[in-house]
Amino acid sequence: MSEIKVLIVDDEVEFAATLAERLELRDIVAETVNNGKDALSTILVRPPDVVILDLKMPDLSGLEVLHGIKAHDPSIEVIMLTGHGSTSSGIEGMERGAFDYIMKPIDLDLLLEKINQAYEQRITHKEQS
Amino acid sequence: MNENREDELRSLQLEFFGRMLAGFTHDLKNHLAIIKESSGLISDMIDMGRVTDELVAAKLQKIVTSIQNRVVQATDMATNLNGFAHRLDAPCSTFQVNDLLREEVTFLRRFARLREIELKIELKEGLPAIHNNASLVQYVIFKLYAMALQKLKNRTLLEIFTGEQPGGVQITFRLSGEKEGSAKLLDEQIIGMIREAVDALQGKVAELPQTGDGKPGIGLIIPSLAGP
Repeated sequence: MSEIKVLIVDDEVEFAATLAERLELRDIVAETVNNGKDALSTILVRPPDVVILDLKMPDLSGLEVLHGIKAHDPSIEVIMLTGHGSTSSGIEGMERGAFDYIMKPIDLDLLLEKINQAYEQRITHKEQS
Repeated sequence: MNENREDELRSLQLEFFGRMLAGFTHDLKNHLAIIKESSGLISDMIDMGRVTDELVAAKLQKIVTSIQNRVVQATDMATNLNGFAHRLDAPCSTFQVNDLLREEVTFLRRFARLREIELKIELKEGLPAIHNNASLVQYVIFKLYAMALQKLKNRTLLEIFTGEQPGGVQITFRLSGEKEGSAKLLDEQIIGMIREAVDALQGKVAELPQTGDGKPGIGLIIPSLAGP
């Protein structure tokens, strides 16, 4: 299996950087950006396989960024990060095309499982198109 | 100021409080996420042998485990607090009484712990969903819980269990070890404070002479009101 490329989009700089480092230790190529606009420009030049996307950000919301990613390349899979107590915001993301969602603070094993599943789906999607 | 205007202002204050609390718990979760990932990174480094002194590695791992356990507990509390905050979003909603109780007990436990009163919770599975004012239900539960603790001696037992009632759900507070001279379990002053709330819920509070094993208790019946 080739290396999985992940883009982490979160305005919490420390969180994004630490998570990226942990993913790198597990042989996942991880890049971070800290706002929605940078996320949308990054996917044009270095398209990731999977985007880990925070729902609440100051400039563009996670749902707006999700829309932009899917409009550019529907095969890029998105896992939403939500800090909300309820699951409704995550479900809303899935209804709008996200692969899945995960609550903050994250369970890394669960996130890794979802990244692998999302990657497999991306490969299948690319093979079909 | 007339009564309606006063109620309206109180609702606005509650709405404001709910929004502040929801924002606060969201931020709290972000801080917890950073603490969890940072301690996780230390753990990764230990696992990968980057800490060469075995004793130091073992000590660090113990500290990391402790931090992560506390993060899990604090996350549960933040999640439940967020649930409280969002309960104020709508006056009436459809909910499971067990979920409300589980959420509230996270915060209530400490009051029992301070008095070394053991708290046992038994939530009956398969109860019907209730349409009522969830925030008000939690308020009444809190007051009845405080009343039950007030009636108990230190180092005794309080059991809270749920059950089905025609058209609703009953919460029972069973007391084992009341203080001497506690002839009546229902405190007039507290009952006076919650009367309006109980009426608004169309609920009922009653002293139960026997709740099983011959122990007395307090019962709260919460009916399901007609949906919107």
